[in-house]
Amino acid sequence: MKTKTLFVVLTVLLVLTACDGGASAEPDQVTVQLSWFPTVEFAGFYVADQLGYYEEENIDVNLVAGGPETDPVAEVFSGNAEFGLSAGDGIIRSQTGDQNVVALATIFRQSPLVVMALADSGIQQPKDLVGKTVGVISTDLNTTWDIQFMAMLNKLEIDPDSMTFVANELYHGADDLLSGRMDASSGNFSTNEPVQAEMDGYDLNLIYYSDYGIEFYNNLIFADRALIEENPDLVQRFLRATLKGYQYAIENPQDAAEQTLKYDENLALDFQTASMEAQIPLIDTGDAPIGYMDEAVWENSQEILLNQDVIDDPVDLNAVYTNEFVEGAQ
Amino acid sequence: MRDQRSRAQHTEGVVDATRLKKAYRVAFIIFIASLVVAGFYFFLAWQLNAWQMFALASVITGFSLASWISLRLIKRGRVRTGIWITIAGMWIIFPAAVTLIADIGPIFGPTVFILSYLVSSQSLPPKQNRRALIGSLIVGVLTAAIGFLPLDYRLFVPQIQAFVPAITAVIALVVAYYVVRQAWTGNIRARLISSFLALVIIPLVISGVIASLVIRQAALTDVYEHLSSSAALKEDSVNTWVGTMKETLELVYQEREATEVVQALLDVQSLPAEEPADSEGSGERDPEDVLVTTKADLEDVVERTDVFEEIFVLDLEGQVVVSTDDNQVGKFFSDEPFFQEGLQGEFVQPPQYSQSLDRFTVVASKPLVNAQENQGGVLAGRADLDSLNEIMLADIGLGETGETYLVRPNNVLLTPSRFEGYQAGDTYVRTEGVETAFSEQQNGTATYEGYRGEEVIGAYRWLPNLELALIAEVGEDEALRTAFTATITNLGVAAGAAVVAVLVALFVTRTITSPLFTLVGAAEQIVAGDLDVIVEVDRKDEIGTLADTFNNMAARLREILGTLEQRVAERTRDLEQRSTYLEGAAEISRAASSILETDTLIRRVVRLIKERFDLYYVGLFLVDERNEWAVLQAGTGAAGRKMLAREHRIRIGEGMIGWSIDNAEARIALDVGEDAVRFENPDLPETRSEAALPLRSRGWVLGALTVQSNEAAAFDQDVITTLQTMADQVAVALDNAELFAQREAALEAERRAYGDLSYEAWKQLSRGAVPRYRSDAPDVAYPVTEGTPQAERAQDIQQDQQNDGSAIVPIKIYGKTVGGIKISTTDSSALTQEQLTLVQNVSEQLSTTLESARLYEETQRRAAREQLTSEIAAHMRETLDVDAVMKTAVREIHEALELYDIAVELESPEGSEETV
Repeated sequence: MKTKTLFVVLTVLLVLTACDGGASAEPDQVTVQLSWFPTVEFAGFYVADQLGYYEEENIDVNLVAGGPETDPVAEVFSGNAEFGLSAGDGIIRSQTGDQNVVALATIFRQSPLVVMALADSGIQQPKDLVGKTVGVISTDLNTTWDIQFMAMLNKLEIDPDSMTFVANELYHGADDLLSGRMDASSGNFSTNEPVQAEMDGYDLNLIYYSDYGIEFYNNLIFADRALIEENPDLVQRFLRATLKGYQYAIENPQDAAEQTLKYDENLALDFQTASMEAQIPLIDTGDAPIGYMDEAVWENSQEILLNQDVIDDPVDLNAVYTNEFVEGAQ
Repeated sequence: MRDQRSRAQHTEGVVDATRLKKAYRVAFIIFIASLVVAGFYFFLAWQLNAWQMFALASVITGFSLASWISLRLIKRGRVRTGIWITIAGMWIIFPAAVTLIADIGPIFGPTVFILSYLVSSQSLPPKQNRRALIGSLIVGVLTAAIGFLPLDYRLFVPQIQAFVPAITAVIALVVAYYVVRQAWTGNIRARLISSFLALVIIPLVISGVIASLVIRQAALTDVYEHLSSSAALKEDSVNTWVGTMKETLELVYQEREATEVVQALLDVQSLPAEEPADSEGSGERDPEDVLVTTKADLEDVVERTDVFEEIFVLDLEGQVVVSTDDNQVGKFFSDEPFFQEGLQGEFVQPPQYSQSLDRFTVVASKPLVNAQENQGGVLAGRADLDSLNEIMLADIGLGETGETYLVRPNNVLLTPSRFEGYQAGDTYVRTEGVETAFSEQQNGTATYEGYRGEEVIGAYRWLPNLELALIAEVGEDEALRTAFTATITNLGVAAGAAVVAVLVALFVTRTITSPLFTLVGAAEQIVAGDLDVIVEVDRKDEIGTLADTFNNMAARLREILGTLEQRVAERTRDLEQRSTYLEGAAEISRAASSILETDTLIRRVVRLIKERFDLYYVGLFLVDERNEWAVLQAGTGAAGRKMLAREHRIRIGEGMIGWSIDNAEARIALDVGEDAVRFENPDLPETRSEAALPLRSRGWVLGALTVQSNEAAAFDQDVITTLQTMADQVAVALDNAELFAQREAALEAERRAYGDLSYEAWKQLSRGAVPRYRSDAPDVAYPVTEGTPQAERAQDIQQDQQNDGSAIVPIKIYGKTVGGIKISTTDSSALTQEQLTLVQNVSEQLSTTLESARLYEETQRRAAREQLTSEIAAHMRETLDVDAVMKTAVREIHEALELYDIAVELESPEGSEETV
């Protein structure tokens, strides 16, 4: 009898604590359009979801996996999702059209993009690619990853025509390289295929785009400008929970990988864990808070897009991104 | 008060006054303590500015209020309610404290148990006390258990931990106080032991606590200083290393070479440069060649200095133009601070992760300018973290857990940890030290939870040029292990001392109380009547003295009781002897005074003295007429007879007898051999003690008594006094006897003289006509004129009884027969004795009457003569003429005396006498 009373009292207390905002007892329904299939790259979302960080912020989140065919910007703009993940070009391009989304934070503060080649290929620098067959995401070279690769070649004044492009197909470790179809593969995330390749026992040479002046944000969290203006509180709460999830993930890579597996049980835990560990220096660079975006990178990105004729005119970068919510999450 | 008490009794039944007093005292102590603790906690709360402390302090303040209420209640007599409020309060505050403050459960658990039980045991009736005991136990266990619950919000308060020994000490002291207090009402043993323990333990506890606090504080200070200096040293090393990097970069190009390189760079970049003043030679060379040459120079520097792993040159675009690492050539570092800053001046970029290198590196940079201040690019050197690691891993001499490390602003560990499982690069260090270093960008020390989750003592430094936190830490356990060891040693010593104190207390108490118990036992034995007790306590102290005294007392008691009868017998004998003596003396005195005959008296006295006083020999000496000798008058026994026979005498002044006569004083020889004056008397060989007693009367010494005993020291003062008194009475009696004899003799002589005179008168009277009367018939008496007076005969025979029935009874006056009465029976039968006695009586009456008659006649005659004389004298006085007087005288005398002739003459002036 007394236990029951105590239980009731505790429940009431808990409920009261939960309602400290007081305004909305109902959790906000939020859909997040991820940019790719479930992977540890999105660990922060998974952790925040699984560990109840969203719940703490009174958010009921729906994480929607993406894929090659998904355009998160469109999904968000269309209202199918409140938040999405996209590379910098998608955000900047949206500024030029009707879609007006704003970057709120970046998952990787450094570009993870690499050209990878087998160690014995002798390919160590971009100039070594001349005369070689190089894997790209799309032979149309219009994906964000291909654009960045082209930008790198352009910056180094390497003629793209000096090499042959084939499309990456396997997306698993060094498999594409081993297939003999290509000498090098571009558009890889250093946190993904190279990690797998290393796990598979292959020595690779990696050419980091960022080493050659290609600074680009590849997984930005964005929202529709309208949402940001109408419900900044929701944005803040969402971002706070998400960044908290990433902080947890980088401090607990193994657990982050385990949480990720809950979204795709086919994933390999050891790879996801290794991948998560590889992400750590990209997510937390140490010179700024997690998620923080540097203006220089945005400028760099815009320049690249201009140079690559992705956009015709520069956009107002202040409208493209805001660190307000990253700073507000600290 | 009495009103309140009685009201209390009314409300809560009978309240024991003692319990009320105790309860009040206990509640008072608790109240004061709670105030102190609340104050202390508020102070801590203010210092720490933590809500947990404020909450706890508030709870304790609430408790203070509750204990004040309970105090009021107790004062009003509602002891039980009051005490229960206090106990319940304690049951709330301790668990509350444990839920709010970290790591105090294991200590607060026992504390709440001891405290609340102590309170209840002091003030609640047994049944309630049992309930409180069970409650305290449960709450204590719960409190300890709560301490193990994983409550994140709990505050870690080292101060409370530091004060835990003090709290424990206070509890220990309170317990000790009550123990001692209760023991105090017990016996000496309990009191001594508890006093000993209190004496030892209280200072030990106090000094132990103070020492442990002091030691802990000192150790902490020590560790802080060590850590601070270690951190400072490490920072110096880091700065030195950074300085070395800068210096090494300076070394790379001499001024001339720099100018050349800058020119080459400018050329390569096709940038216009101000025309150098004298640039002959340099312009001739191919800029590419210059850069190749430069590369060799750079490699040389890398090899020689071993500071950088790579030295490279960036053009003004931020692209690597020359590098000792070919792979790096062509890379862009346009956005990197070492480039941006390096254009401006010397710069060292904080450690940065390089993806392509997959590690952290430190890059130092400086602008490349020629003599004309033309900027050609940036010279940079990249160093790995080996040097930093080396610096950080250098032992700081703080044991197994002492370490220094660097942390980046994102809280990631930069240099390796000493401990397994904490990798540089992915270990997040969010400790108080790191956070403080970053947030305040200052140096300092603190005790906090380390990145491994253990308590550490740390010194933190902010390295501004590298934007790193330098941490020097050591595990608190290890750092304070010496302090702990010291405290444990203290406790050990204290415990040892307590044990020793107990042993000493037991021993000392035993040495004090066991003789006391022995004495008590002995005394009880004596009480039971057993006097043969000897207490064996071989001690030189007060207890030994007591035991000795006790033994003496017992011995004296034994002696007194043992000799009492003997003494009574002796005293009785003494008294009997005394009374015998007195009796004897009285008898002798009586005898002496009843005997008038001297010789008889002397013999009798001597004999009586010997008998009554049970003496060996008694002798009596009298002084002779010439006062020269003391002559033995009587002596007892054979010796006495022998001495009397030889007329034993002693010269006055010699010997004991002579001395005592001479000095009129008694002389005693209690041991005869020792008296110088005494003679050795061969007749009295057995004499052992002797006394000579003078016989004194009317100032004269008549003689002396010698009394001798065959026992030594037979005469004490009492005996002598008795004997002397007796001797004096004997002397008086002797004197009296003497006087009596003299008086008898004098009387006899007088009587004899008077009888002669009367007889003569009677003879003259009978010479004329001797009257004789006869009666031979009743009522007939007639004078006898014939016959021979027979009085003459009667004078001789006194009383002559004839056989013929007649007798003559003499008439005697003053013993002289002046006549006689002759009686005859009518029938000539013999006269009866009765008749004779009657006649004798008559005769005596007759003689008296006759004498009276004769004296009367004579008196009448004398009267007639005197009348005549006076008549003559009267006649003679009628005239004043001499002749007439003489004439008258003659005449008158003649007439009166019918004298034949009478003559009166006057003597002539020549002396002739007138003769009659």
